[in-house]
Amino acid sequence: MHLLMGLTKESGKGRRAGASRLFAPSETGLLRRVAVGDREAFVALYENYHPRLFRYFVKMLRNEERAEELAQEVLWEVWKGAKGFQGRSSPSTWIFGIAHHKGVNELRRKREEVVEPERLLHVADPHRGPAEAVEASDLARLMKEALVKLSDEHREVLELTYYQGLSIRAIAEILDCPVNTVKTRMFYARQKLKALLLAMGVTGGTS
Amino acid sequence: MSREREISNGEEHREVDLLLPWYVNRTLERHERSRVERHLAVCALCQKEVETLQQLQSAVILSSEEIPAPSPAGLERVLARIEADERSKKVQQAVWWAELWDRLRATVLPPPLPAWRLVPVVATVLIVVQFAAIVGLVGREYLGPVSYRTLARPPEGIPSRSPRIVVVFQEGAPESAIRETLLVLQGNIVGGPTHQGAYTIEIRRALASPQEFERILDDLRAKADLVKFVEKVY
Repeated sequence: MHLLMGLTKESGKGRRAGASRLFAPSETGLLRRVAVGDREAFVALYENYHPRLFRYFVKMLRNEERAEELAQEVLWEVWKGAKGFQGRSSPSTWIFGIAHHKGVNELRRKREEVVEPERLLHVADPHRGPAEAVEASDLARLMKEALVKLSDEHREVLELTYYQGLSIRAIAEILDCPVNTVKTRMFYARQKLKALLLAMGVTGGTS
Repeated sequence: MSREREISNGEEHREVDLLLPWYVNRTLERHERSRVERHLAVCALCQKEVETLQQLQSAVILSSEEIPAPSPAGLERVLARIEADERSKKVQQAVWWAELWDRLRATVLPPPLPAWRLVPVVATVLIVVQFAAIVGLVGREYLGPVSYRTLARPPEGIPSRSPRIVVVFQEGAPESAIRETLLVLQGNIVGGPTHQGAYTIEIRRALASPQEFERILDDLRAKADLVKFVEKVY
């Protein structure tokens, strides 16, 4: 729980309320330094974004190996494209915009291929029944299992909101869609999650 | 707006409900946050939903954090790629400059000739140089105006109303002897000395006849120790 509290602060409240004022300009500064070939600045950006991008891709693709490759691809594009960063959006919005584009392309490509079952990341036990689930006391853990069953679109909007701690407008920019689309996509993700939790025997979930 | 009216306002509830996920992650704009907080104060359903969304947030974070950390070797791979890219850029730049130089050379300078083709070029150059030398050294005697002047030729620009002579005195002739001769002669130096040491002397007195002029010349020629050369100016 302590871990969760810390991460929540980093990815949610802290990033928005206080830390963003301190860290966002610093990230913009880092990007400007990267634009002129400063490798030290690039390493700092890499260390901040690589784990976040890796987990974003793992959840999206369920393939660690490919997630690692794509995370590096994104950061490589950050190195190459930092000169083109105009500062109209935050660095995280810009970087996750690149990541989203790459992830969507990868999913499109994957749908055309036969997915190797052994390469899928094992997150939830598909044989676990509702009765067994009901016995679990940790609602968050049940939600985690339900999250795996969401569509890519629904899971991504939850991921960008709660793990990456992004605003509605930043997400709209990343997904290249109107703000209202983000709101309704999140609404249907919650509805779907509620239905999944009900199927697991959890009542009184989302509205 | 009263509490009862707000609760009954289904439209407001729906709109606030759409904002709740970002109220939980604290990324709403200030006016949106105020709106949500006003509604939360009177809506038990939304209060419950906020709690659920907070659990959902924890679940999302947990599901992400359970994923093992990526390999630290990734950074080295990206840095190696950057290094290789930089080297490649330098090579490309060098190639670009070399190609530019080649294009300039091909445009501005003629292509280099093989050795055997240089023979007629060198021969032509030698012929031209020789021709120029011939014209310069020999040809001017035939082609250009002759610039030659005798010692007896009157100097240009000096009118010759009185009789004039040209005299070259002996080397080392004393100035007193020259002076005495000029006084006897009643002559004025009106020209010279030239590079050959010739002086043009005008005789101030009128001469009775050409024979007298010849006699004066003979007298001067007789002073061999003083006068080296003397002649009339025509």
